[in-house]
Amino acid sequence: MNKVLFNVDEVKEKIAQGKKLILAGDESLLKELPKGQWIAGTSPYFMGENGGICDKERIFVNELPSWITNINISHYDETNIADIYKDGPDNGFTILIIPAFSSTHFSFALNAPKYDNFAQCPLIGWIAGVDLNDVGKVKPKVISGAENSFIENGAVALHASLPSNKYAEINILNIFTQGSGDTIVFPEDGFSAVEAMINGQKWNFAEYISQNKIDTKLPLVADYCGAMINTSFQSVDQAAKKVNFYAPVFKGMEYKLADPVGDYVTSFCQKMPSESSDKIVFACNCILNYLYSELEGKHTGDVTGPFTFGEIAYQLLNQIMAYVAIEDL
Amino acid sequence: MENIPEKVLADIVLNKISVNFNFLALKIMLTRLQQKVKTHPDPATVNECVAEFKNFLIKFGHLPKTQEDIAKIMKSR
Repeated sequence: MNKVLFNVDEVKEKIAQGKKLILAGDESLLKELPKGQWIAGTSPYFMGENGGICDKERIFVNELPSWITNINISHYDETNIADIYKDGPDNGFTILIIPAFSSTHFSFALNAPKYDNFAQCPLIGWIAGVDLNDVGKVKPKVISGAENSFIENGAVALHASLPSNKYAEINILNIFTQGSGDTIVFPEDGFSAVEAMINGQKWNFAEYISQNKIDTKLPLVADYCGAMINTSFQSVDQAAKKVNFYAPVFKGMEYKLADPVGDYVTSFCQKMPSESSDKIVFACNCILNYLYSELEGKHTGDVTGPFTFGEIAYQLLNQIMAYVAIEDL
Repeated sequence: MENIPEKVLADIVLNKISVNFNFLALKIMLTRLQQKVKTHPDPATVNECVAEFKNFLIKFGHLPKTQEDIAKIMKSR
């Protein structure tokens, strides 16, 4: 398997060579890097060449193929993130990184489906995080290598144009499927819910979870015309009678609790993309998969990438692997 | 693409016909349209969503997965 974790000096050399890079790493390492054709987000969790790892000494490097010659690095915030799909190249893809818990993160998650040209540009990316022991103490950041600016509330994007004989295809790998249990519908969009309709009957959702002893390590799953889309539980606040999620639930969408999964690695490998890993230019996987499935030291086939606080495949998703492959026309 | 009757596209947007599409972007975009007409089932919204669905298929009609999906739509008539 190709090396994907590098020390700071090795990354500096790649930048000096003019390589186009998507980086993930601890903030202290990213701060040492010079300007160049790169974007980055903070995260110390990676699926590396030797398996899942938490590493604060090295940087994860996605090097775009050399035949991708035309890129544009942009900075967004709440005032212009709605342009993200319009700004994509006519033929190409966009990689977007947003810091977790920022207002740009929440705004994108809730509103992306309403943006102009939604889903009309191949958009992939991730939500930058921190060491789980530092949540609440250290803020996740994203970095534009073009300006060497560190951003706590905003986003960075790398728009990559492709030659006319190639195209970008974004896909997700989700080991979770809808269970056969209750149908859950929420009355409002949001990252939290108090009430829900369970099979048409109104419940306090926190009480429903408690009374039914729901395993909140399993996500809610919605069926998007055959694509299984997860929303992960963040916390159940029994005192406030409120449930919090890592992505918004959407009003009127029908959700079901996921069926339990046996062994993650086995399930993952059974669903491995048919695209060869050579064609995949970027992938990321959810930190919840790293934690719940105990992926430290384990492999997810040949696919490598950061573990993230949310994944972006056209919109914000949870508990999936997102990837972009470059195919020939 | 122009041969697909608008009624078929409307039936898909209104969830009267279920098609097992391949293209992830299409699945996600179509779901948004279906949710929109579920909330606002007036003719203007339905027509707007059908137009958006059709324009999406035209824009990405050169891609292999979209071509497979268009073939599935034609079979569903």
